[in-house]
Amino acid sequence: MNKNKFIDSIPSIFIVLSVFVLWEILVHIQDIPTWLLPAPSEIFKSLYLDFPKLFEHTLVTLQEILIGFLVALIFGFLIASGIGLSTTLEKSLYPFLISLQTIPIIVIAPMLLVWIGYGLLPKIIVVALISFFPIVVNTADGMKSLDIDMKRLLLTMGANNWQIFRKIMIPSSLPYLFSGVRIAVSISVIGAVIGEWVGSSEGLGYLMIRSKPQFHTELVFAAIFILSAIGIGLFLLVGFLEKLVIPWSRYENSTE
Amino acid sequence: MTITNFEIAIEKVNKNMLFQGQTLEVLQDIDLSIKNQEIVSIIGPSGCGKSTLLNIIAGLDNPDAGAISFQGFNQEERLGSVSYMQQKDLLFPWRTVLENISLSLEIKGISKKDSVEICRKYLSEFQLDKFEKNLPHTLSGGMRQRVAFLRTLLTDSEILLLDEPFGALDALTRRNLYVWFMKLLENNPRTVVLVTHDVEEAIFLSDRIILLSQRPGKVQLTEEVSFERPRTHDIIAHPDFVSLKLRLLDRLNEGGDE
Repeated sequence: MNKNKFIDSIPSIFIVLSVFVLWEILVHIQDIPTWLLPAPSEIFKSLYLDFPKLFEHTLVTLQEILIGFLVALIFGFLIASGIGLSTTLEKSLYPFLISLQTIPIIVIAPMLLVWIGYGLLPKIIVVALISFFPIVVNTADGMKSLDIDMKRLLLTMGANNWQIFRKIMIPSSLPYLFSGVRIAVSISVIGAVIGEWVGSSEGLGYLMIRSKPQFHTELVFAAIFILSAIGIGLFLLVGFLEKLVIPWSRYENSTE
Repeated sequence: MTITNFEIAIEKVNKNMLFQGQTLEVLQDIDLSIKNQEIVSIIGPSGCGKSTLLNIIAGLDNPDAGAISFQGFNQEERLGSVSYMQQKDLLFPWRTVLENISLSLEIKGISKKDSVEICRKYLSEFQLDKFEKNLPHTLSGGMRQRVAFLRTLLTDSEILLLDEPFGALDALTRRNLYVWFMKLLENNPRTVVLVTHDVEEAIFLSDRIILLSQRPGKVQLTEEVSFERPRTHDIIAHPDFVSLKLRLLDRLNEGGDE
C-alpha cells in the first residue's frame, strides 16, 4: 500500500523537479537578477536562512486560516442544515449566499479594516467569507440528495423530522461536505493572504508586501512556497480525515 | 366483534393518482381482510397498484375513499405501527449491520444498551453475529437482504409489509432465502402482506393469494394455498402446486394481454 502510494506519486515529484531544474537553468542562462526572478536555489537558501522569521509569520497566517476555516465550516454547516430542512429557507437564503459570493473579497477586505480595525478578526472574516460558499453549497446539495426511500423507511418506523435529519440527512451530506471542504481549504489560503495584504503587521502576506519593495524577491517566493505547502498539507489532511470519518462513502454507489 | 378477528381490514379502498396531468384510477373498491399471522400475497400485472396498496396500508399514502383498520380499530395514522420493506435493502451504508438492524429501536427511543442486546440475540439466532460490525458494502446481496429482513422484523409490529423483497436476488439466493424467511416467521410469527410478481414465490410463501386486475386494480381472484408449514422445496413439484400455478398464470395473462 505504502509502496504503491510512493510509485503513484513519482510522476508528480518528477514534474515538480523538472520545473525547478528548468527554472534554475533558465535563470542562470539568461542571467536574470535575483530581485526580478530568484532561482529555486536562492529561494531554498532563503527558506533556510530566514527560517525563524518565516516560521513566525507562518504561524500567524496558519492561525488565521484555521480559525477562519472553522468559522466557515460551522456557519456553513448550520446554514446548509437550514436549507436542507426547509424549502422556504432555501429560497430565501440562496440569493443572499450567491450575492455574498459575488462581492469581490478584494473590495470587502479594506472595508473590514475600516470597520473593525487591524488585528486577527478582519483576516478571519475574509478567510471565512471566501471558504464559506463551497461548504454551504455542497453540504446543502448533500442534504437535498437524500434517498427518498430511506426517508420513507424511517417514516414507517414512526420517525419524526428531527430523527430523519439526524439519521439520514447528516450522514448522506458528509461526502458532499468533504468535497466542499477540500475546495474551501485551498482558497482559504488565498483569503488569509488577501486579508493580510490590505493591512497587517504580521503573517506571510505582510512579509510579502514588505519584502517586495525591498527587492527581497527570494523571500516573497519563499513565502509563496510555504503557502503552497500549507495548501497541499491541508488538502491531504482533509483527504485523510475523509477516509477516517466516512470510510463507507467510496463504496456507496456500488450498493445501489 | 367478528371484525376484531382480522389483523388488517381494508374496506372499499379507492385511490386515484395524478400522472402527467391525467387522473388515473389506480385502485378500485379493494376489500380485503387479513387474519392474524396469515401470510397473504398480492400479485398482478405491473402497474396494477400492488405497491400503491402496500403504501396505503403502511400509511405512506392515504386512500381517496374507504378505510383501513388494524385489529378492528380504524387507523387514520398508520406510520409507525407497521413494518415495511422494499426490494432495495436500503441498508444505511454508514451503519454497521448491528446499527442497521437497531434502527427502529433507536427511533422508538430504546436505550443503546438494551437495543444492542436485543439485536445481538436475533443476529446469533440467524447466524449473522459474526457480521455485526461489518458495513453493508462488504456483504453479498443475499446477506444484505437477510439483514434488511431482520431490521424489518425488529420494528416489532404485528404486521410486515413486503414489497418484492426477493426481487433483486438471483434464483438460487432467492430459494435459500425463502426457506430462511419461513424459519424467521416460524420463530417470530407475524401477519404478512407480500407484494410480488413471481407466482411461484407467492404460492411457496403464502396462505392466500390475491390477484389484482390490470389498472384500475380490483380483486380479481382469491386462492387459498393449503400446503402445511413449514414447507420444503419439493412442494414445487406437487400436482396441487403446479395446477395452482397454471391457474394463476392463466388469469394473470388474461389481464396482461388486454
